[in-house]
Amino acid sequence: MHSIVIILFFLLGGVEASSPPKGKVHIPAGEFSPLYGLDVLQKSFKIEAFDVDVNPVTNKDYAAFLKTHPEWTKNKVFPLFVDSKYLDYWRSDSKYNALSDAPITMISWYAAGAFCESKNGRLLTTLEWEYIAAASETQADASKDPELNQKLLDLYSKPQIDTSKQSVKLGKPNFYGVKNLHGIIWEWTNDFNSFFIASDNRSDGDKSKNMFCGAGSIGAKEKENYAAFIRYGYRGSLQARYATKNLGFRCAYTTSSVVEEKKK
Amino acid sequence: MIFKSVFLVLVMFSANVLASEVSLYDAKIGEFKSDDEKSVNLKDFAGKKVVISMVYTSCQSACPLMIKKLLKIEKKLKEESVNAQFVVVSFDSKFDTPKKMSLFRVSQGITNPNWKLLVGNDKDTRFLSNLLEIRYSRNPEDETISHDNKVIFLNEKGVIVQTSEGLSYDSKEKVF
Repeated sequence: MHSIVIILFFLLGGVEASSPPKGKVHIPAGEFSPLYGLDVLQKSFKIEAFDVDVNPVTNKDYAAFLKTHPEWTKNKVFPLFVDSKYLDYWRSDSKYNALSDAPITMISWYAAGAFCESKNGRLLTTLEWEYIAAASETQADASKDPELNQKLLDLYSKPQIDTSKQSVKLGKPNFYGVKNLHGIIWEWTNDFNSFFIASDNRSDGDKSKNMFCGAGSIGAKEKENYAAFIRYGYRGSLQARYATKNLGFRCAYTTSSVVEEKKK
Repeated sequence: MIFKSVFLVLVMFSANVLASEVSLYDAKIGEFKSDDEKSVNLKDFAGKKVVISMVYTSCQSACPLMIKKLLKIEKKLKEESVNAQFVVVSFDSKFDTPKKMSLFRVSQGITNPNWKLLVGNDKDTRFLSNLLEIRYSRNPEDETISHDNKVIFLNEKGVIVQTSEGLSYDSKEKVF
């Protein structure tokens, strides 16, 4: 039975096999040099192809998830998976004080991961997230583009916007067709608490130094990319249980089309 | 204003109480493999006092010091006549194996056969580390892992009672 389906799939042509389903875009494999490396000679890293949600997961999406996964409702959720602010703008398991197309926020890493798993997906790695977030509307890697960096810094320095009133429908697609990576929310990544510095540090205090202190930041690869600097610092301050007002997520998928590409 | 801050403190306090009564073992973590190739469910440790930490075997400097710290804690608990289960979980689900953990046991001078040295898959390792609030990440360039140096103490119910940060241990206070 399975093989018939697979054969039919191929008969229908390669286009279907390689174009991701609605609401997702395909991210081609590539190379990327993140903000932090062991040294200035750091190479760029290979990134495997994957599919990703065009937009962050919205309140509407999450309400649908809660219907089929009641173990994640406020009343039933396992206490170590959330903090006391989990979904605090939700009045019930289906009603919330926000636009339905606004990104879900006040969500923990555990909840975000469970949502993606329910869609046969996963959270992006930090490297994957930074890879697609380095794109501007016209360039795949605009991480050294002063204009984009200034735009992001302006965004980050604004007082916190009311995420509940921001529809994801308004965002513009970047080079890959991904929307709203910047501007409304920050996003959970699978390895959010990562710090790309030498692992041999004997003193605990040294670890985050590269991200926060002026003198310590000499390990940063791209000093002009201050926006990414802020993101690493922010992520490093999180714990997996935390729910905050400007933190949401989207999912990535290791899809059949990706598997096909590998076979070739 | 005073009322407001008192209220805030109360809210924080009640949240802490809530979390501190919950057993880690109810989080449904997947199974790990011990260095003698047996499947281990963390739930198996319920009913025991547990001292748990995370390291990886190709780690050159910090991890051997973490094991030394654990050995020191073991000695101290022995002097206090406290029976505890020691558990060491590998960060490195990509390269560490039960066999490597077994060699690590010998090279690090772990003589107590009751210590559990565990390896899990990537997902369960990340999951456990977040429950224990131990941060780590792999540098994709040389496959080394940056990580927190923490020892976590769990009571018989699987509730975290204390966390000891850093590579040294000289606490005179009783843990359990």
